[in-house]
Amino acid sequence: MSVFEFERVTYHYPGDLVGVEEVSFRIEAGESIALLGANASGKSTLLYLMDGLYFPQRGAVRAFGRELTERALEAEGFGRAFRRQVGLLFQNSEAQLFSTTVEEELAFGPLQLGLRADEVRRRVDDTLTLSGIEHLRSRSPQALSGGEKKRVALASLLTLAPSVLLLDEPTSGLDPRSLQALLELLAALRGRGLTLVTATHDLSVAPELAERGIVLSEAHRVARDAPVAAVLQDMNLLLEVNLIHAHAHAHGSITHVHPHPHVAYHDHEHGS
Amino acid sequence: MIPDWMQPTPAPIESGGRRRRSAVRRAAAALNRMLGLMVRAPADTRPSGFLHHLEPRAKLIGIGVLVITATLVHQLALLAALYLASVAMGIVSRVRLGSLARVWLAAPLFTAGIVLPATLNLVSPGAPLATLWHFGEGARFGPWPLPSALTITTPGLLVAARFVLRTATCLSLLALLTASTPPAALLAALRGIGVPRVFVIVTAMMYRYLEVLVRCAHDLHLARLSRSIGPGQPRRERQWAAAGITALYRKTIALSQTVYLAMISRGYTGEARSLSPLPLAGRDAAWIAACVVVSAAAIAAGRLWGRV
Repeated sequence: MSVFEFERVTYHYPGDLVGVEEVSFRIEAGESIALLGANASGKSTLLYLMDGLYFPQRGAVRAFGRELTERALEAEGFGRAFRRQVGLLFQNSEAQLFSTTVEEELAFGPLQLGLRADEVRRRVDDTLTLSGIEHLRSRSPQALSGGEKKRVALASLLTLAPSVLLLDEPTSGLDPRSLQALLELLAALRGRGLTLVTATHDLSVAPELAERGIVLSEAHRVARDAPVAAVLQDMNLLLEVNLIHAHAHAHGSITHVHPHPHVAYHDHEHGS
Repeated sequence: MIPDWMQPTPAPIESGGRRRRSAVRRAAAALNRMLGLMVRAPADTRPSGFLHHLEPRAKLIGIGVLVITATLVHQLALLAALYLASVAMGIVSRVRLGSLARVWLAAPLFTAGIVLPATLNLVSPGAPLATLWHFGEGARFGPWPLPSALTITTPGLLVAARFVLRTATCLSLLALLTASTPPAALLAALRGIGVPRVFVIVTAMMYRYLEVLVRCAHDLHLARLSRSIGPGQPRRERQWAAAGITALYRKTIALSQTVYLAMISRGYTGEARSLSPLPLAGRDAAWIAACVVVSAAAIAAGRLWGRV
């Protein structure tokens, strides 16, 4: 059974702003997917659709074999099971951390889903240790740094023990140490069989986060669905969807133009 | 192509000129101070003294009992004793005196200013203590007859003294509570003593996002300052302030929608649940008992002695 199945899904925001247009794909359990696309190409919209926060105007989104509709999610059995299974890391950690302390933040999800208090406390304690944020337990989210906020936001999902993690630009704004810690944690979770769907426009981290890449065009459609390695080699596609740029530059006496899939460093042979 | 006008040209940096602070700069400075207070607040409540070591629920109940006592007791001596006790508690608990001094000194003065008219025979008739002005017999103020003299009366002075002492005591006790308890713990304590969850959650989120919005407003002001030279025309500054309020309002709406989605995403269905507080320790129970005993003794003493 697929974890997610998108069938010709279209979602427009109020004012007829296009979110996604005629999008179709399937995600199987245990897969790691990178949703790649330029800003405003529809990556976050897709994650919100997967998490049952938005519902398509046309087409259908199915999760665990059942169509995701408001009515289905309001049914206590499916709604509760779905929320336990799927966790969404928002791009803006500020919006996700709404409790007064880190401990309460981690306890929020399991408590809403009806877990017993002693089980919630055990999960909170274990997750604080696993995430290396035990020292932040009693701190207010407002007093945390950007990297700490991201770690707490992710930890607040892990207490639900989800089988699917949806991550919206998880690496944005992180310093190198926080980035490395996050990548290691996500790699460990992938190793435990979690399904990871990561929306990002940072091509340098895509191979570390995913095996399969779904590329969204600036027309909010799926431009390509293939292994990440193949996607990253398709320079014409990446140029077309505004994920890389091409410019003239000089190496000694040689001046030439070629696409750049990277920001700071590149390595290539000089032919002519 | 970069247009010619964008070419950097060295501009002479002149000093001098009349200095006038713009409203934007004043607002930015005020927002900066507010941010400093909000971010520093949790650090100020680090455990150090007697009150800091009490469980927040016990502290809330004990101080609540003392505040109620201060509103029920009429004797000046008893009110003064409660006030001095609150000051002593602050010193024993090593609460930062700088923040409390404002409450201990400014609150009585401010309250005295408000209650001053109550000391006069125009409001509180009675035996005169001091005469301030002679109006003369048959004096009138428009259609209203005036007494022959404006005096401070004994009943008026008692009413004012009671009001000032009561206000100062209540404010001092509440200042002790907030200075020795982190805001998050205080909110959890409110929930622990049975205040409706929805009220506590709304208050907690309001407190949580106030800082985010203050920071946002601060950034808006700094962005404006970085692109302006000196104070602008008052009319233009008012226009800009209105535009800033609109921008902030839009951000607030967008943020509130995302927060709501984040809550739904983690299973919120309209009824928020939270962790139950742990049981109170013996020391906490002893503190509550002591506050109740002091309260009962003060009320009983007041009844026995009658009103001063």
